[in-house]
Formats: sequence, structure tokens, C-alpha cells
Amino acid sequence: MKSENQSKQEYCDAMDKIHAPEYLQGKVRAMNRQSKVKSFKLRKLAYVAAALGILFVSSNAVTYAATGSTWVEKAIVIINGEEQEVDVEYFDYSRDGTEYKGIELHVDEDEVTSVAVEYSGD
Amino acid sequence: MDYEAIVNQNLDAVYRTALSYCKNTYDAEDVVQNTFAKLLQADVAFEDDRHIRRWLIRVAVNECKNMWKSFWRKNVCSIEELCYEPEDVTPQQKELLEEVLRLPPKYRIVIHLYYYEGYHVKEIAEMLKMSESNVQIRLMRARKKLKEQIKEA
Repeated sequence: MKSENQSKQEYCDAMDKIHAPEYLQGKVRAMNRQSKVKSFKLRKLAYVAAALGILFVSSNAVTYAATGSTWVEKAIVIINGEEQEVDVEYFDYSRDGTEYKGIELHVDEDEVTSVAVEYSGD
Repeated sequence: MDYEAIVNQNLDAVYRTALSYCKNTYDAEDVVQNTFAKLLQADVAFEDDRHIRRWLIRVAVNECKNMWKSFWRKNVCSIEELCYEPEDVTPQQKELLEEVLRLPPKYRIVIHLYYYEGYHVKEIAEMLKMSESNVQIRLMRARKKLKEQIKEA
């Protein structure tokens, strides 16, 4: 069994090998006082709208991800009577042996990051 | 100290802290950008380099916690537990990293701050806004849980 010091050294050695990627370094260096802080809060109304399934999928498929199990469409979500265009991303994943399908809606980043709906079965 | 110098000295440390909490590069990158955006907007008189590092790490941890409070992170797991693989690590180092990342976030962060960043219990307590006894308890439980996990593996 390894000693605590040995484990500590191995953890430190492993962490030392992790560096921020170059593109991130560039982004951070290019920031200024006006750079926006991305909010992770959900606007309640957007969440409720997604949960109620008020979703109208348009016919414009935007991308098909390299994995073959995700793709993105445009959709219109009605929030408080106002139409808001969102990117709809579908994906498959499994957890504890159960297959799930997930839907994530990406809206205006300035106000809301994303809402998510997940379901299993057909 | 000017902004560029602060970034050069602290970017990796903030990134590693965010990664140890979030476990994936996408979230860690968001946390890093938010942290340095807040640095630019903050009006803090830093005493020295250590003060700057502590401040940045504290902000990064808070950003990680805010992210984990969101509906999405609470209810959906990442497709892979470990979404990044550092290059050039030995199998033993990779195994240990994976075991640390399997710990709950509240244990992972104290392990990282204590063993990697080298902060004392008192400093960690100030950064995480908890009591020193709480930090010591979390360290003790984290070590115990790690030993159990490594034994199982």
C-alpha cells in the first residue's frame, strides 16, 4: 500500500502535467473590463416553458455531430406570448443501465444558458 | 501587477482547480473565463502574489459551485465520468487521478487545495467560507474514502 506522501507526490506530478489549452490562454488574455460573466442561472419561465413541452420544431436541421448520436435543430419556444428561437440538441446516453434521450435548449446566453428535458423510452 | 502577468502566473492554477471540481474541460473553461472576467471587474487591492492566487481560486470555486447549482448539472450526469485525460501521465498517476475525481466535489476540492496547492487548513477554511474543523473533517473523510476506493480497485 502506498504511503500518503507517495500518493500526494503522484497526484502533484499528474496535476503538474495539466495545462490550460492555448486557445483558452488566448481568450483569457484578450479579455477586458467589458467582458461578460456568463450566468449559469436559469430563467424560471424558460424552464417552465420547456417542462410544459411548448415546443415547435422547425424544419431546419443545423448540424449533425461527429458521434452520430446527437444533432441540432432550430425550434421556436413561446415564453409569455413571445416567440424565442432556440437551438435544440438531442442526444442519447445511458445511466445505471437505462437508456435515456435528452433534449437541451440553448437560448440567448446573455440571459439564460440552457434548459433541459430528459426522458427514457420511445 | 498587470493583468497579463497575473494570467501568466495563475491561469494553470485556476484551470486545474476548476478541472478538479468540474471534472470536464468544457465547464472548467467557462469557470476560468468567468474568474478572470471578475478579476478585471473587481476593485481589490491585492497585497502580494499569494493574495492574488488565493482570491482567484476562491472565485473559481464559487463559480464551480454556481454551475453545479443549475438544474442541468444537478439532474444529468456527464456522459463520461472523466472527460479529460492529461498527456504523459503514468498508469499509476492516471489511476490516482481517477480515484480522486470519483470523490464528491466537496472532498475533491479540499484534497486539491491541501495536497496540490499546499494551503493550510485555515487558508482553505477562509477560501471555502467554512470552519477549520469542517475542513479537517472533510480532509479526513476524503482520505478515508480514497483509501477505500483504492483498496476496491
